[in-house]
Amino acid sequence: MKARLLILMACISLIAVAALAHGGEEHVIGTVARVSQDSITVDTTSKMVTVAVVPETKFIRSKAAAKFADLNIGDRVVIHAKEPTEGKLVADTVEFSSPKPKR
Amino acid sequence: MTLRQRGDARTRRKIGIMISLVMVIVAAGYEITLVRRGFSARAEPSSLETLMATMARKLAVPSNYRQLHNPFQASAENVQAGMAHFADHCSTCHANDGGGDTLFGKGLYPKPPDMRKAETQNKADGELYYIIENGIRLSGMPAFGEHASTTDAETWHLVTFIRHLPALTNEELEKMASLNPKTEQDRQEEQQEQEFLRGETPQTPGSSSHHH
Repeated sequence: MKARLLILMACISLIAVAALAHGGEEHVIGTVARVSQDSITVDTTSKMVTVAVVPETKFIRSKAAAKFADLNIGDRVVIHAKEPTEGKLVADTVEFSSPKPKR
Repeated sequence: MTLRQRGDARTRRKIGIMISLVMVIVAAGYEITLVRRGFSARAEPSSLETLMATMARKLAVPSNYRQLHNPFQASAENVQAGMAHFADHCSTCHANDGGGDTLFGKGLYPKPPDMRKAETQNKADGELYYIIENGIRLSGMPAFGEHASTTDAETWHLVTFIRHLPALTNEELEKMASLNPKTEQDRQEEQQEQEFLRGETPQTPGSSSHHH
């Protein structure tokens, strides 16, 4: 009886761990296709992904703090986003770099 | 036993039965609510549960710990030591900023508190020390101390850092992000992302999901 109880508890723990591993942060990587007042659309080559920008979103360029206004179409971008509601991504950090000018 | 004494005893018994009955009804009502709601960890504890857990936690901290003061000063060096330890051991559930908004933190029942707020900041140094060392039963908070002690420097540095949480700067958050534990896969992905940003890889790895 004790052994059964232990097995049951172990199973419950495993199920809990497995369920937790299904959440997480979305990493959106690509080039900036569109910028609106409160969102960024990224061309990830496989599809277009739009991520909402909120006041808490942090912008980083060359490892230094930047502003939303510094972001331009064509920039390379790595967005770490949360998905508070299904299908809606909200940017946590937006790290970007501008393409080097061709000579 | 006189008639009056016998009457008093009967009244006391009646009151006892009434109290027991009320307690049984309340417990049954609570169980029905639990069965209806299920046991999902996504839910927020009810105010009754929160009240009982808070009271139990308060009572569970021995009074000699509550009177302890942090023997270490809040020097930059001690804050840094606590920060590095926190980023490595605590951030997975509590988040680097202490807000608890992480994958594991959000999935726990009860959720970890926002440590920047009064609920945590108003606790005595010794209470925080005791919780870190001994954990909290029936919650996600493990005991990090190996034996009963009041002099573990690493734990006191954590207490120093917890006190610093409301004043955490963006630079400190950046530093903590580099100190968070990473898997080999995390490191590889981070490297790929940096190579892409530097323009060293032409194509994007696409949009992917990760667990942090």
